[in-house]
Amino acid sequence: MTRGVVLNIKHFEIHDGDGLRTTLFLKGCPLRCAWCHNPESLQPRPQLAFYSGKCVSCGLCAAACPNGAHAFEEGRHVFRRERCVGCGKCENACPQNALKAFGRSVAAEDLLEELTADKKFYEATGGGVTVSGGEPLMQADFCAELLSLLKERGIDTAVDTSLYAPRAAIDKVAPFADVFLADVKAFDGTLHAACTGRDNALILENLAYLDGAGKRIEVRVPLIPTVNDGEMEKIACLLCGLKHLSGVKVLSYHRLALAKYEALGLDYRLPAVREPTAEERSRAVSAFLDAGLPVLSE
Amino acid sequence: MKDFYENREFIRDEYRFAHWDPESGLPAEEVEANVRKFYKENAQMPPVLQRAFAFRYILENARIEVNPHTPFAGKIELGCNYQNQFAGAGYFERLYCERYRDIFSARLPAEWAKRLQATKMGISIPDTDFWHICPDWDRVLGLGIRGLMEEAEACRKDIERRGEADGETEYFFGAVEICYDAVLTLMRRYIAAARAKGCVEYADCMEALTIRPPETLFEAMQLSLFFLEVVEIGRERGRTLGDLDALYLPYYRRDVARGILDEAKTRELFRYYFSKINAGRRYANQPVCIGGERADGTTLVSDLTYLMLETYDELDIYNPKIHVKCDRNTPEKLLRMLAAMIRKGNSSIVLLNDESIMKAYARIGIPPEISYRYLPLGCYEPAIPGYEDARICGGWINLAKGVEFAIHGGYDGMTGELFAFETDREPATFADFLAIVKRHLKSFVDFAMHNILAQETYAYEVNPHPLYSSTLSDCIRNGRDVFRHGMNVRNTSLKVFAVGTAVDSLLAVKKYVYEKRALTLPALSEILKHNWEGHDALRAAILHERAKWGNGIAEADDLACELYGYMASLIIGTPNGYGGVFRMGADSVNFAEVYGKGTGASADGRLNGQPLSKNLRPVNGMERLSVTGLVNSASKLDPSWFADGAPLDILVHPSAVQGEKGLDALVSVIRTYFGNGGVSIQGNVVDAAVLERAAEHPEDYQDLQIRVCGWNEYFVNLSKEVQRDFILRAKENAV
Repeated sequence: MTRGVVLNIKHFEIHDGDGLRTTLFLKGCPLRCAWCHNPESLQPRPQLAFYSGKCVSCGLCAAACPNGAHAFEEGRHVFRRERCVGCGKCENACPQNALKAFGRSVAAEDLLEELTADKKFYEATGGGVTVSGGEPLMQADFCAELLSLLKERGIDTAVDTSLYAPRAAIDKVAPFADVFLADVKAFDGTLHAACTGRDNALILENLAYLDGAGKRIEVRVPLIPTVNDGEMEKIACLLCGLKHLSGVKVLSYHRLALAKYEALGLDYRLPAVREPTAEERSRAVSAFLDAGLPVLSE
Repeated sequence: MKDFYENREFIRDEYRFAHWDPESGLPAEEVEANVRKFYKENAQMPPVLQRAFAFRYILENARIEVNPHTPFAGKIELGCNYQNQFAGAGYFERLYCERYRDIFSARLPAEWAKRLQATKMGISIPDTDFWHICPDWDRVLGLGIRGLMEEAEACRKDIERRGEADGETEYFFGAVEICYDAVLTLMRRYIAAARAKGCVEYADCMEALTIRPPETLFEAMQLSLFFLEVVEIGRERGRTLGDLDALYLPYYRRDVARGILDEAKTRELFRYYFSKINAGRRYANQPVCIGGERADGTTLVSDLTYLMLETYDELDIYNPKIHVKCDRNTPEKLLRMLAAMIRKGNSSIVLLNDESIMKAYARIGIPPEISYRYLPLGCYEPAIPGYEDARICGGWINLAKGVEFAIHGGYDGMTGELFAFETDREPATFADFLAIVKRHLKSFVDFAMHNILAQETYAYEVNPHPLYSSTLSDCIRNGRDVFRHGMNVRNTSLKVFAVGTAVDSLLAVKKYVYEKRALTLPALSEILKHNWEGHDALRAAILHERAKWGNGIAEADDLACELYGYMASLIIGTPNGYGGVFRMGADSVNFAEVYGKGTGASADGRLNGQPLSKNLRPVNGMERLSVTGLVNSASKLDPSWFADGAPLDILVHPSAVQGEKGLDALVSVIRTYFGNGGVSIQGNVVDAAVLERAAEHPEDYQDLQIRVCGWNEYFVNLSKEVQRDFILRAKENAV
């Protein structure tokens, strides 16, 4: 029985694949996209978020922490992140919900009850379970085991992935995934490397590989003004070559994650970028429509 | 008449800015003074006659207004305050509320005192419920004013012929006659005023209604609104206007066949009709019903249903509220339309599941061939019009209070008073503790039942209602007022609520006192008496526990079933002492706040006086698995327990249900819940006001999620700027 590091489970979700879904977020990602809206998912290890605005300096976290990560200096809460192992003991002691531990280690089998609880809704809407992240393929063994257990129970499965993963990881997971929700963030390899930290050759190879294997693929293209908005036509052109593309979704950049960056003690790398206007969005959508691709609403 | 939208500004708030014709009668203060004088001077008169004469005096003398901007033109001044969202009580309503208080407190001092104590402690407020009435609209429209009068007269003669007449039947029928005399007088006053203003359409319609039943859709709608107006002069509220699409369909079909109406004209009529209801600011929104099925199981949904709903939606109003009777044959089109309205922010739509409600009726001995005709009355409570005198709000029982008393050895956590009896302060096991909770709950039920029956003894003296009674065949056949037990089937409801607070508190006791043995029950009792002061860490740990009601977790759901199952065994089918039985419901309406004020700090982490969990909802902030978790929990409750209804409120942010897929999701929630026995469902979309509350009180909204593709975060953790942005956007959408 393999264990995975899980961030969260989100129920009643319509954005992450067909029908009504439950989305499981796994922790750990090989990319470092500048616009990432789930920064808590990047590190594979458990992490603590500290929402300082909610803290009333009651000191209960310091009493609960076995590692001395919480200290109070002149009545002010000082969080020594380097001492924190993300165990979550302080989260349960905090009366203000100012602390949140991201990441817990769970066996695949132990997730089944919660992931299958909404089976009636999946059946009514053609929905199922989506494994997202982070990058789920970083935990390929766990992911494959979980998906196979879900398939045994007749549940539709989707994998929301960057496709930045070794072929072996894809081969493990693909047999149990009904659809891949795959990101294509840029066509140009240099640009991709500049804004995600990695070249996209592997991603594009994997995309072609999955398509060649007859896997259904829904492609998501993030739209980040001034960063990748010039890439849309080229990405559209690339997608035209896929035989098993079920749809394209343009995901507008948003700045909702800023508070999470602060709570995790991380720097936000796109401070000057704004959310796309309706016009910019519709221009991006047109690039895919003009190429004759099926565009899904956001 | 001009186009509705040209007239709308003169109708929108026509009660608030009424122009009562000074020549038409006496100002409200003068009518009130004379009515009060009349009651004082005629204190010995039989109450049913008192009421009839006072009613006639009001209808003859109160000022009226005919509004030329609407075909539903007439209205009468009753001294109500129309400044707030809902109209305040008029003078006749206030008078009857005072009678209730004065007579009960004088005749039943012990019961009255106990009731005050139970109110203060947030245990239960037993009531006769004169408020929710349900005229038999089939008879009202089928017979008209004359027909109702004539049938009453015929019944009176029958009773006399059978030699069964007595003083009481004479008074009753005499009162009915006086009431109709008054009703006809008011109609003639409206007609004269309308003719003087040149409102021919309205005058002709009312004239026809003085002599015969309605023949056209317009006449039927007119009579509905007029009869509602007169039957509500007093303390009572006609808490449904009937199953409108079925009720009006024959008139609509006939009018269309005769060429009197087409679709456009019909829409125009409903615009005026709904606007009149909205302008009246009827308390808690006036309920109307649509949907349902015929005896043979075919659906009553028709083109008229859609036409009415579209018109209502177009007006963007929440009063009336729409009750929808659903079954397996309810068309997808209707559910999608309703889901879209809910998503737009209309929280005045309640869906009910006929199959579950018929099961609950079967349990109190009313078979499906009768119960299929039920209508939702008031907020969500079923009643069978013309068949059942359903006092749908006999009282509420606060489950959380049972847990509170068990923790404090039978004493109230905040006042330290004893309500019923002392109990063991240190039961050995959780099962023993639960048994004590049940003993207290039983004492609440016994108290409520006794108190209701005691009040019922004086119901007729306090509050007879001959006009309402005359619409009910049983009452006129028996020659008895409805509040003198004129109906053959007379049921009373007790509502059992705060399941979320109670279950979460029980789980906390189970885990911390009996499993972890982190503290003793007396220690917990002390902590709660001191409102958790100095025990923030324990409180936080309990609040963070995973097992909470409303998340599909077996441990919590089993306790909820055990509590409701126990209450069902005490309540359902128990004789109410005046010829009927008790039914059980699970709604709290706004009493979650009222009773919360009297409920001390609870073991789930709730503080002194805070609101209790509402209806079947989880404790605020504890709906961690979203709508589906809540539906999974609520589906475990046995629908046959809830003849009085059991509303499940779902609350989602619009982003969770956007697009066609969002509608699919909402419809699947309705279908899945109802397919698994759910009783009723009310959809709410988070609006700017909710977001503002969430920003201010994050502890109550820990579970609120804004949905963005692939994103993982809760609203309360967003930065203040982003929260403000969402609030602003929600406000813009509402405009």
